[in-house]
Amino acid sequence: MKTSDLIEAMDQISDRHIGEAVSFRGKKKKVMWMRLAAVAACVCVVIGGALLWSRTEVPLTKEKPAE
Amino acid sequence: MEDRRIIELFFARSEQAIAELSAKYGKLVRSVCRNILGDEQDVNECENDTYLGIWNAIPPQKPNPLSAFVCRVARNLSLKKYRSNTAEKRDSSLDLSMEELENCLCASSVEEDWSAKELGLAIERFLDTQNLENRALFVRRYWFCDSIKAIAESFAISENSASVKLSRIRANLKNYLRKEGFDI
Repeated sequence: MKTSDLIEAMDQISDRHIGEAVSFRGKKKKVMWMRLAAVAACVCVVIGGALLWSRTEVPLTKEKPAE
Repeated sequence: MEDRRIIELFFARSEQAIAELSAKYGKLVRSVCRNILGDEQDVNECENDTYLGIWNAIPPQKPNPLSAFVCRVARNLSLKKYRSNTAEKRDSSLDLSMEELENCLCASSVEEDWSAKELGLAIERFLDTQNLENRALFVRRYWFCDSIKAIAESFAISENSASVKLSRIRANLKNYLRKEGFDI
């Protein structure tokens, strides 16, 4: 079978298959965005935790009342 | 603009139909022509001939889907031009993609007793056994003659992954055709 026969064979492919090949789009992977979002979430948790800890910290020594 | 509206413009014999068709499918038409012809001057000629062909065909035809019809007209005209071109001028993606299929389907040195049409109908049936991504990959490579790079970009996969997937589809096709009684 020659190239010309193969080209002729491919002509039998239906409009349905051609149409779906035209409209088909691969799904872009959102790995990079997901990684960035995960890092941002971690940073927020760390900062939030640090702020909460600094506000609720109990003083070790009581201040003496001014005489 | 919706395909239905473009077809209505063709039926109304409005020249705006060509402008709208070109705006929506011009890039696709040029891609089909370029994959087969390679030469930009030939691509321009074929693009214009495609619009003229569609102008003459609609009406009476009312194609659905319009995209497939446009691509088929562009492909047929490009192949006609390809056949009339000299061998030196034939340097396109078509040769590469057909060579891949030839290597897969034509390993036998025995003269085949089946026609191109029979093979084509069997390939069409084979496509129905594949999932959507595989069908689209096969058609984009062997009907549109898209390059591996273009396919990889369009399918959001690596070039290596596209090549491996196509190689598996060709192997599946070979097995399918053997089961169908083709001496490959």
